[in-house]
Amino acid sequence: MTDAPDTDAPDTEEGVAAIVREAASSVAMPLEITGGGTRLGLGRPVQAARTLSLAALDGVTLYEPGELTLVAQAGMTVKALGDLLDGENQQLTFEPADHQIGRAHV
Amino acid sequence: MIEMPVPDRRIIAKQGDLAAALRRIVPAEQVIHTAEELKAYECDGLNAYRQPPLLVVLPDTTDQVSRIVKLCAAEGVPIVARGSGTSLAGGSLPTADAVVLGLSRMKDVVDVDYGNRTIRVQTGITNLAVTGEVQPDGFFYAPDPSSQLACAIGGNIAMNSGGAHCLKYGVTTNNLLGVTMVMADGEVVEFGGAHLDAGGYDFLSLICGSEGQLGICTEATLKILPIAEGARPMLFGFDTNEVAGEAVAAIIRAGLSPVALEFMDKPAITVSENFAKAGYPLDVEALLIVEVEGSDAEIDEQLTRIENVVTPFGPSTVKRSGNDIESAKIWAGRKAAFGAIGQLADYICLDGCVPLSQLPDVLKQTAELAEKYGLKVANVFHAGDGNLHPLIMYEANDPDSARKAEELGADLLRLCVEKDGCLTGEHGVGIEKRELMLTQFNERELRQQMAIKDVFDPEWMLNPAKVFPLSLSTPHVEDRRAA
Repeated sequence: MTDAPDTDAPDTEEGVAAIVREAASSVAMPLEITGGGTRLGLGRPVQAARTLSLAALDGVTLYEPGELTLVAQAGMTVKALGDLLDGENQQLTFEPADHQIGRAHV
Repeated sequence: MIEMPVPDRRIIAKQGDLAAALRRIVPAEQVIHTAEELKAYECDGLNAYRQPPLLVVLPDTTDQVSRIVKLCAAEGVPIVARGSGTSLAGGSLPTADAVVLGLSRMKDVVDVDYGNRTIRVQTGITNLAVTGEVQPDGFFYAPDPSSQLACAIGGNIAMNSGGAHCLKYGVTTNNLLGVTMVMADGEVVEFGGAHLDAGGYDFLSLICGSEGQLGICTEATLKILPIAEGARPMLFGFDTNEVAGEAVAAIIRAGLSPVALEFMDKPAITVSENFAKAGYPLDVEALLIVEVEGSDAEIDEQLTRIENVVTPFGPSTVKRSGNDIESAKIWAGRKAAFGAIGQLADYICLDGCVPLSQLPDVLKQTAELAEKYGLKVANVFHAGDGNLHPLIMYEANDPDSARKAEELGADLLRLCVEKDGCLTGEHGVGIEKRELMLTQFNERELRQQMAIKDVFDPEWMLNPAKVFPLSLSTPHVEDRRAA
């Protein structure tokens, strides 16, 4: 898969907000929002002027194993998250299919 | 003192006409209008605040609720929905110009479906009656607020109620599958159903915990679960609150799932032991009661694992229950705690949440704040989910003591928010924490939440003067109604 020519992949929440704000204030700038893109092959392609990829928002901002609490950014892969949790002998209770291992995002 | 808005005299003047119109919807005796009878509805569990409503109406069916809501909407009369009136946050406190819509007659079990493990009930049914309905067949409804003998499912949905078992089974929102809701204009809408997930927006999650602000739930589909074969607790005593708090986090971290993990601090231990003679050690600072469920072998295995996790923290007391008599003894003090404290003094039961890692520090600062105000505070709470219930002891007949208790309560809830926690674990906001919402959220965030109410209840007729600070809601409501 190749990204559309104008894909933005901000690595901060402020960056995402700026792109959405710009799109909202423009007359004709629909946004395609992508994560890992593992289901992009299904259905018709999205007709959008720009693509906002969340792939660079891939960190964990809080992990307290003792409280069974974790805050992951939306672009983190399910695989990376699983690996992190493995280290504490923990797991997610939901289990999204990750058929292209390492590509599915939170 | 918590302020309430000035009632609308024009609405109060219509009491007679309104009562007559309501009697065309429900039988005459189900409309309450005399001052003596209205007194029964003047407060809920937060009984320091009292205000008889304009009228009370007690419908039997969703259709009647819909017609009552349409009538009140046409007449511009606010409605306060009420389950059993056990709210500790003043969630169903009336205003003088409001009709209380009581759900107490709507107690029918509509359907029990063991194949799908669901039960469909009218929302005036009490929490314990839901379990009572399915218990003979080996099932139960998991959320178990302390008031479960009296409190109604409608109120549980409004406040997203929890209870001692919610550590393992989740709170109301995790056990609610669908509702029938009467909207602010009287329209009847179904949300969710007897399935785990529905397409579209997750409106059910928005409705559960919305404190009667968005609509009136008249029926609910609830999850029911098989009753465990048995349950037994273990008691641990610690020399400091800090170490007890660390042990709680270690148990959770180890992936063990106790059904209850209760914490008692020194003041609570002393009072309870004097009252119940449960055999609690008096030379410890903190007690943990950890209960697990399952078959006998399963219980033994789990308790051994818990003991192994806790032993490195050096508990000075370790008692494992081997049978029902020993279990009852371990629980006796905990169960008697509130009553024992009630014999010593009047008390306010607070409800705040903090991350487990903050427990020791919050307990330390609670003691310091109590000393500053010259009041006693005992802590008995659901430690596993960080849900604190500080009991502030005071003298209700002394206005100065009552004022100090309220101020200390506000300080303690602010402390919870400072420690990355929140204002309420299971009691809700009601009127009690309405003004404190500005410590948890900024004004923009609260205005966003108010905008959601605007969508469901454009004229702000449902459960007035709750949840949002009056400084924000009063001008907003005036604008909405003028528009």
